[in-house]
Amino acid sequence: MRRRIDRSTRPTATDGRPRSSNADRPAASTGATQEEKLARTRVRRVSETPEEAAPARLRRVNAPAAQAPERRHPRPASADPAPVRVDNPARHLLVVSFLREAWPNAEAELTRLAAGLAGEDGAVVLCRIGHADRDARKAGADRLAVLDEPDTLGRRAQLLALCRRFEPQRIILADDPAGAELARFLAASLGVRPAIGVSQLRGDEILVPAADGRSEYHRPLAPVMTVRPVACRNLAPSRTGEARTIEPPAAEPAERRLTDDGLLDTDVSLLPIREAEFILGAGDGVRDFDGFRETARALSATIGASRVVCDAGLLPRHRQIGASGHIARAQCYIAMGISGAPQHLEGIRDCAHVIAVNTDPHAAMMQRADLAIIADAQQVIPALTAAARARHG
Amino acid sequence: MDRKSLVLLLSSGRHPVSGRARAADCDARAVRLALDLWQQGCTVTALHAGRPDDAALADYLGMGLPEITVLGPLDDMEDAVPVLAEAAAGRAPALVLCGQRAETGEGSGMVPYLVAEALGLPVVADVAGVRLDGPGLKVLRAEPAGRRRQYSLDGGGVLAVGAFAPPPLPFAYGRMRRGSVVLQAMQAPPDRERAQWTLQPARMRPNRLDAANAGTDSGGNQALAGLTPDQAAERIMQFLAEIKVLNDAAPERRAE
Repeated sequence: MRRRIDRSTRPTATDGRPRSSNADRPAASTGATQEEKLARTRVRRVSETPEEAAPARLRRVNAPAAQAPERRHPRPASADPAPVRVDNPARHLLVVSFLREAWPNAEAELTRLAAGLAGEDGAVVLCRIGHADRDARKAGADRLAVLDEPDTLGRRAQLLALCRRFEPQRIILADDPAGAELARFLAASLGVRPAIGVSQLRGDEILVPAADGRSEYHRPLAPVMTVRPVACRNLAPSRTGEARTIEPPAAEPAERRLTDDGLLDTDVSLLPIREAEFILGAGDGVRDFDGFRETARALSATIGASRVVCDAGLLPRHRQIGASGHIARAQCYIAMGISGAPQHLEGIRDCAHVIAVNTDPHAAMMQRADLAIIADAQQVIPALTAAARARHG
Repeated sequence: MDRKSLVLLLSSGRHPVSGRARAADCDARAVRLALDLWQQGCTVTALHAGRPDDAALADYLGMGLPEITVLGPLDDMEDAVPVLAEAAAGRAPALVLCGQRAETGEGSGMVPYLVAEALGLPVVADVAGVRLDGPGLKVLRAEPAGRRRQYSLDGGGVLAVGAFAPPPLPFAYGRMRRGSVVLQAMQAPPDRERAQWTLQPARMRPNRLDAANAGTDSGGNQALAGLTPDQAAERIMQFLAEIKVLNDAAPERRAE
């Protein structure tokens, strides 16, 4: 019964985004209009009786765009609708985002979530750390502040000064290590208790998994929250904000006993596999390993290897990727002459993009790859070094 | 305040799959950093707020700590932070080491910040290494994509040790037998705010596909045959540019 309801109310994928059932109430129902609420109620009622569920499903398949839940995610109607102006907001909500987003489109989703919590008379202040090439107006931000201080401690002082100036009702960040860390700093500085890793918003209540992951706390909305991607489903429709630019307040770090010495120089090609973001992996199809190391350095990629290569002693054991080696969580993995044994494929399960170069078009790695090139890896390696050097100068 | 006095805060860990009590991973890494500093002449006091019969304490002793002081006994609904802060302040440490985030309870990772506030010390999080440097300390912080940022600490600080610090020391049964657990009786206030929340078994929520697979659709699943090595290299570079990996590779453009 439960499954049936879920299936019948889930729209077919029209824009590629997964939807949850209406058992997950929309994250920010305050932003929904009366009409949308009515539409949702209707859908829920229809699907409660199994006899009616099937016709409802059929109708949806036939005319997906005309159905009610679709209107929760309207496409921007015209090219640039007039932005909503909020001049004297009753409250501020602060969204802090980094240059590198925690997940694709995280900043826009968090801004929409904040707009839903802010209501009609509240303003969303988007605070970006670093200049990012993203559209804050379309995301629905009413104000935009960009902090580009290179010193991490100076940046934190600026952010704190921004918080003191706007006194935001809530501060919302994405739940990744950097976001959670900044949230803790802000919560400690403002003397409030944060909610780290919110997995669902239900009106005035939030669900926060406990540390062991087996249970979750149901608690009131917190002043500082980091939000997981799973909580950013069924957001209120985005409005166009004016994204009025705010000069970040000048601030000096209060703490004089701690100084930021900057980043240390590290050789990216020798990073631990589990920390690497871009990996060049060598398999049995690679014969010249000095050339391979040069390619990795030219590309600023970390060296990885298959089990065969490590067994043969051609690369050290700590470079081995796979269930029997290290698990890679890279943005991009290039497999050079690796056929793709199951244990190796398990090790790259979390890699977002895979490129494979192999002479065998039927190798398992070629099926896994986003870009599969049927060629001899050993011949491509020097060409790749040259191409990378030409690009980086 | 003695520059060489160090307090180590230990929590009780849980294995993520079996749920058995064990040394918390980040805390175990903190033990290693603390013992490295101990070899350079620091005094190390290990504190744990909880129960003296906790099975996780044996793991820490087996890593080479001679003694753990248990503050309590406390139960789950009592607030450990004031107890830890009071006990740490009594020892006037220059340095407090602890794990980044607990493996039981709320697990918000606020303990280092709250203890730091009570002691009036600055915090460095995601610590991957620490060394004595003249009168001060040099602390390495792990950042995304394997970068390391160095901070200088003059005077004291609270270091929250993260998952990229050196791996924990191996457990040795003999060390565990030689180590001792000492109880220091302390009273803790109940955590009133948390008492109002309800704790329920977590419902499994599948990860969002679009968030988990960061834009895997960009390349499509394409197989190319009959390219010369130069053309193949060019196609790879083009793909890397499409998914913005090459731009990100320049370290100065990878801000936080």
